Amino acid sequence: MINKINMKKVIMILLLILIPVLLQISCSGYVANPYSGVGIGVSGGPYGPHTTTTIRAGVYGGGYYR
Amino acid sequence: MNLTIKFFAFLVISVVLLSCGGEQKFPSITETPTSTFTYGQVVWRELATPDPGVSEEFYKKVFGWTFVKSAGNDREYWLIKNNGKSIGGMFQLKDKNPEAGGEWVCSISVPSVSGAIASVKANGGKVILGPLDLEGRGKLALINDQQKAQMIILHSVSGDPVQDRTIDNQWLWSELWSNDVAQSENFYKSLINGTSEKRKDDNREYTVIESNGEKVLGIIENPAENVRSHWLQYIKVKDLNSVFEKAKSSGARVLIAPSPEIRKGTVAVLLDPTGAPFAIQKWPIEE
Repeated sequence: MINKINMKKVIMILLLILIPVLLQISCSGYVANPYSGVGIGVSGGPYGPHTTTTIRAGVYGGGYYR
Repeated sequence: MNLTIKFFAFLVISVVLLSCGGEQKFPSITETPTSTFTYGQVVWRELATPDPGVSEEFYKKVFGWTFVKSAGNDREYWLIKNNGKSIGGMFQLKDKNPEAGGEWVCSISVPSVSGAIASVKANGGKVILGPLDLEGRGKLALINDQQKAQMIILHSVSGDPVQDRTIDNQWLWSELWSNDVAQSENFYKSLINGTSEKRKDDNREYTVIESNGEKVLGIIENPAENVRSHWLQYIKVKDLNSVFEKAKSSGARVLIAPSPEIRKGTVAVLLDPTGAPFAIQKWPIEE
């Protein structure tokens, strides 16, 4: 009798742990994680930590904004 | 099962279900849905940075922007706000070449992402990622033009934000520094189904791309030697010299300092501490 009750408790506790875990997994699979693609393929800018450049004189004249 | 356990189980499951539903949307580019589109225009800018902490600190100090972290999972995303209004986003570069710096990546509004992709491919560009359907954001693709300048083509699910170029510390203009202006002109004209106009200011040639009667993009010959083609985003400022000094003291490197020969000293081009290029511009220029 005691063993039967303990077993019931163990199963209940296991279910309590498993259900949220399974829900979390199924949710993340169902709705594709929108953040998982962020930054993929973005190469980064051309002025890296070791980039040196010279600005050619007379080429830049400011932007045009209407 | 006694009542306490039942209640506890209900609570846990409810919390999990609620968290599944609410956090999965990607931030929209509009504060409220507009349902209007400004095709061909740059409608959103995102800072791809190797160091979000350094970037946040810099733009906070120089422009007073605030950064609101979205509920991210394995990759994080921040909304950038000016006076409480969303003006862009920020994410961390994780797959980058260690030699790469930060970069502002702009999103251009298109009526059809698949149509724009066809144009990209037909004109020698490359689709790097997508098309993707991001819940909350819309349909988009990350592309490279022929010279590896990157941008996002986007059909926003909430419409496009209202363009307002009168607000200080907000976006004014987007300009491509191109290593082949003629090629870029054809590429972007085709991409947005636009037209182009050649201007000459102080004997310097400037190509303006127009869409639906609006001037939307600029293209100039890349003045930076040994640097690939890239986009430069302009930020409108009230006091150019004060912002310029603040940026320098906060770790910016100077590409082009204000000069009386260039638009009467009203513009400067800088690299933020991670190497992301941007321009500051006092506008309108007082005669």
